[in-house]
Amino acid sequence: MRSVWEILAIILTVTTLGAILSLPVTLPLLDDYFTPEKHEPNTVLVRAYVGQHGGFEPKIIKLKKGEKVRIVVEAMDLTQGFAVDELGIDIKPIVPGDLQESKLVYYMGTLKPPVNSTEIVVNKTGVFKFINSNPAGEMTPFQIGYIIVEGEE
Amino acid sequence: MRLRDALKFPPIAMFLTILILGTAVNIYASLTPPQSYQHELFMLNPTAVLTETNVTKPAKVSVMVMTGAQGDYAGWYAAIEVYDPSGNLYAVREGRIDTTGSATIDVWISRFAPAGNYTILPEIGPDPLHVSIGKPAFFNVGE
Repeated sequence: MRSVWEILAIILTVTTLGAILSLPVTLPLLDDYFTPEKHEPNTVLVRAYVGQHGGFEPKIIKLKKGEKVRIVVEAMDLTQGFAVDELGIDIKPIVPGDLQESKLVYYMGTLKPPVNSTEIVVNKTGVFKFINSNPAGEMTPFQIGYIIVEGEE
Repeated sequence: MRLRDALKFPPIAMFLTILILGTAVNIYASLTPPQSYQHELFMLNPTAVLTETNVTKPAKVSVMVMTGAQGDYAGWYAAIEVYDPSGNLYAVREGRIDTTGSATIDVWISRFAPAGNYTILPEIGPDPLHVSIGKPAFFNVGE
């Protein structure tokens, strides 16, 4: 006859093992759930990376004139920057992993704006180039994208 | 202990192997400087020219990707990224610059594609990993 403590120990061991083994499935789900754009409407997540065909993802951000949008930038490999000269935006340094900490903040329920983000309202139509303002290799000058603001003139 | 025996001693043998391989790699790296495309990429200034800016779906849109730079870029990689009216990537089409200094790339807009203002980003480079992105071009897709 097993004692209560033995049964408790078995239950705890099985639960812990189960939790550890299910991490490959649960972590991506959690990561997806705590992505800023899931919680704040009008949030655009821009991923910046240097390695292998480096650049921004997405390279095109389409906005409507007068629309309020939060742009969150996540560095995927090296420390980078995000700047739109014509709109006076310059976020840097953007350190890989910053957004993960932000997600933890979301998880804790404080819903603070994520780090490396900026809220913009563009009141003029046009095409505005964004660049990596934190040099991170030979291809940095070619790491560009465009914010396209549409609407009535 | 003779020198030959000392060289056979595993830690020393391992150390010497790493030292020799490291020296060889460094000599090779110093003799073959990395190829830099940065200067050429700066000059490229890729431009997308469309034959039609208003199409009715389904439609084939022909985009001529050309470089504003002087020089022979025949055989270089050219591509267009097509974004739908919501800003989502609709298609990526690739080609090669020909002897006239341009590449003509077609993209098919299906009948299920959303109508509205599409954006094209032209890219040119020596290979898909080193490309210069040009200014966007636009075309409108009607029902």
